[in-house]
Amino acid sequence: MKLKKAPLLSLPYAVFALIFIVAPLILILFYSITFDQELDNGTVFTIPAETVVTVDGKDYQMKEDTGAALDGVLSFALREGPVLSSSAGDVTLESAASAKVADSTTVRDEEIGNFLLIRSNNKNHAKQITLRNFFRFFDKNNPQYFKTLLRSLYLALVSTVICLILGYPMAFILSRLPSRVRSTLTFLFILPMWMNFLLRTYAWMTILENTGLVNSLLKLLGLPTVSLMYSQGAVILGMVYNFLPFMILPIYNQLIRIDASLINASDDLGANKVQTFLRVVFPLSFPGVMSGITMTFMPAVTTFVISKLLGGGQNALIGDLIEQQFKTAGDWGFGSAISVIVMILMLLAMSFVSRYERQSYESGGVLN
Amino acid sequence: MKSFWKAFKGIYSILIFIFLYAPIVVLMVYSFNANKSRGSWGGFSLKWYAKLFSNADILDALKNTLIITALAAIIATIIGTVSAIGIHYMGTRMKSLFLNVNYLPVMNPDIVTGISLLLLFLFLGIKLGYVSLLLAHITFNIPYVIISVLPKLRQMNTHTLEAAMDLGAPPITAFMKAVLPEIWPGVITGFLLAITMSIDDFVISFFTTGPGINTLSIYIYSQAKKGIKPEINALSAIMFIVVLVLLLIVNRRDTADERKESKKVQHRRMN
Repeated sequence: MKLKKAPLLSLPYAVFALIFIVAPLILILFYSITFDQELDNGTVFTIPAETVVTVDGKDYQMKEDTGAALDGVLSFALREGPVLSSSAGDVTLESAASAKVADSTTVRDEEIGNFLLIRSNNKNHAKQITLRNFFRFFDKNNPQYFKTLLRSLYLALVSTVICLILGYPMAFILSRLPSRVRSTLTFLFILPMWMNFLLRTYAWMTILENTGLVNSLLKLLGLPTVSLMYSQGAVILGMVYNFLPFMILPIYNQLIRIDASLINASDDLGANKVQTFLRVVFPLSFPGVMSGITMTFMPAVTTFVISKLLGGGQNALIGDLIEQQFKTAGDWGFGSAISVIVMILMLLAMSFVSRYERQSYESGGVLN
Repeated sequence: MKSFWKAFKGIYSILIFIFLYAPIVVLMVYSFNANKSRGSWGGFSLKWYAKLFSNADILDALKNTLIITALAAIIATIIGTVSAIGIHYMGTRMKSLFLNVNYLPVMNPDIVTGISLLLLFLFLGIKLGYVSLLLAHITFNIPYVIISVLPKLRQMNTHTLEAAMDLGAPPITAFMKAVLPEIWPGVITGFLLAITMSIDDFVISFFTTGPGINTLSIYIYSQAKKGIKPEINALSAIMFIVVLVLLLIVNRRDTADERKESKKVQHRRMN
């Protein structure tokens, strides 16, 4: 039979997946247990805020508008490896206070905002295989990283619970509508989900900021203004807003699949509406609830956009920490180690949830 | 009791509805505000729209987004469809191994996928820019195509393909005539999913792009970090309208297809 050869059709993708899915994860694992000694005792260029840096013929001023400049220079540095030096041809530094070679051994986090750090062109840096990245994360004397993880889990949990409380009734109401109204309304509830994720978060900035809509209204009414942005509340609001449709949809999909005759049977057997809901409808919708929780909780834990835009510096999440290691601090080892920790947590959460889902599927048919 | 429940249902739905739409409406209204600050209404104006369309950075980001999305979706759909067929004919063990690997990018947090690809590109010496961005998008799109195509393969009537081959059709012809029409809805679903994933992606693009190459999401992020720009309001309003129109078209087509299908069934039954 010719079809025996059909599996060969997936050979190209097998190779592709090996390179672009499996190998990158192995790289993360590898980097998480390496430590670049150079970072510790090598030279580090710090570029003061006013410096003009020319990269690829483009001038970047290290001042207020550093967003693009920092990213540009840093990606360049990351891409080309440690090449920056004041005399090298492809990168030039021109400034009154020209780049200094600092001998600082450690980089404090506050400095990252104002200074650009680029590893020096030091050829004798050595990679060490070590677990110190993980120890650093769980360091008792310096618990900021671990605290960030706890904060992420806490904020994601609160948002998920709020999404569930708000979303379940909505899904239930939607599922009980006559089918024609239902499809239109469901469409309207999904629609905001198709808006760009960043624009949705940005929208809340315009409402919450100090000169935003809420405060303008308060002023109009002669009330004192409140500072809403850059708080945990703002982060939770952003999460709930962004992930609520992900809670409503799976529950709704599960609810409309429930066999109406089961509900009728429960009614006929003398259960009242509340009993029917608690003992028939809710248990049958449980798989939907579980996948709703997964679909809200997971992205909420690892987001860094919402916390950056609405939470400000003091409400950084674990995602911010990873982003910082790769985009500004340049410590890939530590960044990879945090990613590994996050991956393990997510895997644990997922296996927990999938066990629940299966259990409720299995017991779903027998209502005891 | 019954009327209370009815009232509650109505009010609750409206409240959630307001919660979901209020921010979008606010953005759209402010996009017509002549004043830059949101504190006061300076009258109706289209100047932010004019500014938006004369902003080279935004237009460039839009162009990049569209090119990357289109290319990534097309390539991912082709690779994904072909490999889905291969996976469909695999033995159980191979199949589950393949599907598990395929699920990794779907299950992994975006930030992990993003940095893992960044590390790979740096490791392989691939210059960060268009190529790396495109490869990253293809990588996270293929799994969705495979997930969409596989169920259609399972529903497919296996005998058609065997009959076609028994009657002497070369494999390619047999595939085109007997398999592709049957799985076509799944291929289209996968393609559309890939487009939405690509166009909306920020995190993975953020880590795999190079200096100076922005997609719309990356541009919006870098602007939003600096504070609020009225041009972005105008951009949101336009994007919302585009999404609305596209979804309405797709929805319309779906219901039209359903109607056609049910007609076909009726027709078949009558004969």
